[in-house]
Amino acid sequence: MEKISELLREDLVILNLKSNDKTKIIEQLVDTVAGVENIKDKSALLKAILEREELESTGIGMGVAIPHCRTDVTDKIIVAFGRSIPGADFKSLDGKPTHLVFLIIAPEAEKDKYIKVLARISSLVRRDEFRTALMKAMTRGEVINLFAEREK
Amino acid sequence: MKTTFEKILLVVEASDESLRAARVAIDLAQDIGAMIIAIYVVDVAVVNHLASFSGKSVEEVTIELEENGWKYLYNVEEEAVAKKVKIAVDLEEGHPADKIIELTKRFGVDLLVYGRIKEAGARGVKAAKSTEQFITHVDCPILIV
Repeated sequence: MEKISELLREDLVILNLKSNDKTKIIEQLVDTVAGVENIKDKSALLKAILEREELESTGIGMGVAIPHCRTDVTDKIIVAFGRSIPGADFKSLDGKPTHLVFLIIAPEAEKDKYIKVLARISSLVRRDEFRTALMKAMTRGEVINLFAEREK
Repeated sequence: MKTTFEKILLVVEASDESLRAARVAIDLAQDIGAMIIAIYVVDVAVVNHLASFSGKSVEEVTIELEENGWKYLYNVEEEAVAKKVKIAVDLEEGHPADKIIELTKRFGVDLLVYGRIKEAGARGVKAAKSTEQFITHVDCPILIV
């Protein structure tokens, strides 16, 4: 499996998300992805993520949300990361605001890899010290290095 | 006791029985318009047992088991979403029976769905004991598949 530190590039990291609104956060992450990756239809991507968001709470608690979907607007797995210092409401089961948002997009045919990427991120962010380090990271490179250290 | 099921707690485990229970829960939720909260409990006793035999640290084993648990949860989520069923996933650590009892209360669920392991031997005995523990303490109806 590709490492998260290899999938997550600096141009896919936002250290200060502009909005505290869930939909606007997802829009900003989609814009960022569409700006640097080959996305066939940005509107379709946003629609797919927001539709899925209606069906599930992607806030997994502990201040983390992972909006995700499989769609053929991309031909590879993409991971983007955004950080909101004040936090946003992603309807997490624990009721806490979300500060760390990972957007994961994968082609329809890549279900297994997609599940592995989701599981890896979900597991890593359960560590308190890892989330604290992500909150304190000063640069985009630092965010990626934190994943690289954990995935050694 | 409520007689309508709006919120279903689905216990997800690494077993065929659990997968079968997940499918029943998803179909039921689809039929009655309920939402599912799928939970996976990483058993701390299993973590400690594996750590003592594998030479790995408790944290390493915990991360491995958590990652595995998330894979099961996200697979169930994929099946639910494909059927347009509302779902939330949650992974917890602890003693499974205690966590199941705690989570039915915390999430205020109306129904618990569980896949019964019908295996002989130590695994079956352990599973039966755990099932018995939460059955006697959970307040909501339970659907055992």
